[in-house]
Amino acid sequence: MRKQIHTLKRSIYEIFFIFLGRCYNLRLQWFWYVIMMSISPLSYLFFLFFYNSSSPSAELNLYAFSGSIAASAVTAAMLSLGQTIGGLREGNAMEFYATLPISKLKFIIALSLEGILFSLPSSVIVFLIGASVIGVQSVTRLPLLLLAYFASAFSLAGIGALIGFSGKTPQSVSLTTQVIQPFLVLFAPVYMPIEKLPFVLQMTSRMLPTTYAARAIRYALGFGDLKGFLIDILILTAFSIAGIWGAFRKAKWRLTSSDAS
Amino acid sequence: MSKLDNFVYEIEHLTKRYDNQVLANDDISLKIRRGEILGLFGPNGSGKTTLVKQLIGLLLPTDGNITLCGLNIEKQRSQIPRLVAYQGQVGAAFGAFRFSELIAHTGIYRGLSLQEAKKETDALVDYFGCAEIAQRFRYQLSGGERKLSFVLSAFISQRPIVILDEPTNDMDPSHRSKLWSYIRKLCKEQGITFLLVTHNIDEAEDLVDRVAVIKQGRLIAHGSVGALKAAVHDDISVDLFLKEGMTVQIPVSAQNVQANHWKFVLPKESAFSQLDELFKIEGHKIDDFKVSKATLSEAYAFITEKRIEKYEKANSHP
Repeated sequence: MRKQIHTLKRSIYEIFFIFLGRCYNLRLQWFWYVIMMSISPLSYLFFLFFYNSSSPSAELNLYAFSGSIAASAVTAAMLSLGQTIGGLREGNAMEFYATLPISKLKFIIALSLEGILFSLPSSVIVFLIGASVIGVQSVTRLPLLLLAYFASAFSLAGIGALIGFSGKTPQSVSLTTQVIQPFLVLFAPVYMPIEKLPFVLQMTSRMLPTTYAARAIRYALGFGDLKGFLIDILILTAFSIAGIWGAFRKAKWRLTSSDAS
Repeated sequence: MSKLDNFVYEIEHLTKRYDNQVLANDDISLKIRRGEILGLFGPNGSGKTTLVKQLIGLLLPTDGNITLCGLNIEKQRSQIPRLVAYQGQVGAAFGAFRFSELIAHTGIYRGLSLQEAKKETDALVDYFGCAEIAQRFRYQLSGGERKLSFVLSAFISQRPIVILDEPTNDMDPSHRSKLWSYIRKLCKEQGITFLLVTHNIDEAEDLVDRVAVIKQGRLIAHGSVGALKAAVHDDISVDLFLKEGMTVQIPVSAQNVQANHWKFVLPKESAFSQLDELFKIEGHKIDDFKVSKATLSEAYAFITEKRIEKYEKANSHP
């Protein structure tokens, strides 16, 4: 038992230092990270507010608001993780990690945490601006909102890692994450109620974590029932475990050099 | 000592063909002895880095085997980082790390506690006289200083085998000299094995025990420094620097390296008597001179410049 506790402590220690090393980028470029991660969800948010302004609807504004937070959380980790791994491969920097006794799982968890941390400022900005526009007075379920946020962010981290490791070239990794992102956000009931989607998308969206992320965040903002929220969290947790497990099993850790050069 | 103990790496018939059909390594067989410094030389694009990447498990061989301390590395890939430290060609990455942070983090990833990592980092920074740049961000450093931080990372939490891929590129002479002496010290005092990939052959000559030369993916020569040099010629090379505007009687085969700098080879049996005579008669015209046997650079040039057949005949030793 003592050995297991020591191993766990050592693992947390190593994950923390990989995460810390990745966060050093924030010291120099935090402003640009915030701008880069905020611009897309903020643009969607304002577009939908303007679109809805012709026929004002509290429900649609709520969807725009919660959808922007969900989109920011879910895609930031995937996008960031995939592109970070792709970027590390491009500069041969992945070789640095791959030739050290770091496990693939610890590396994926640390990079997922990095992606989530980097997505937080943009989500806070979206939250503050969106809340004032739609008139959310106070958030009484903050712990639930944080739980929904982290469960949402982790739900696609594994997919991001898998794309990052598996892409043939760093450029293809970047393209793949950017192609997948709109499908995840726009083909699911993130910015609008599920009934507004075509029948086929209503069916397929059940397989996308963004569906459950948006619903869980809407509940945390005060809409929906607790049972539904807990089921959504469980589904997001299952997506997270399956994704990270898949990445852990399939990602070509250490074989980081391109075979085409 | 068993056979297993003698060699840290045993490479057998290693071939690497990339997806684009480029044959980067062609049937390479080589053994690296425990505690030696092996220099791996070859022209750009000859397949050195491809070989190294297979040795550290970053690339899979197309054919052949690599054994690391008795382990088949394809099957026990996770053991490689526990036995081998590697400094690759990372360039400008990790710009947000401070010089010392990169070294300390590497130590932590290799299993050190924060205190141990800081202690070892401080010792390395002191040895290499880098205290002034230790707290600077890597993006603020010169190419040579950035390279040095990666090289020092290979030394923290010591592994029994260290692979350095062009460690001295862009590095100033003072740090190069310290690096060579540190490598010598680790090898002598702690029995660390080094594989050194470098184009800096003149400086490596005094450091390496054995040399392997790769050209167009093939191992075209390997052996001790002395054996390689002897294969070129056993004669005496003379560098003669004449005073301004002076001429002397020298062999017709002499090469005019620069305006007053001549280079020629004398047979070892009569070299010193000929030089003695030259200095007696025309010594007042000579500004400076240098006498040496063939250098490793000359041997390398000889081996790689299509004179392979002659070399192979002269040096059939495996």
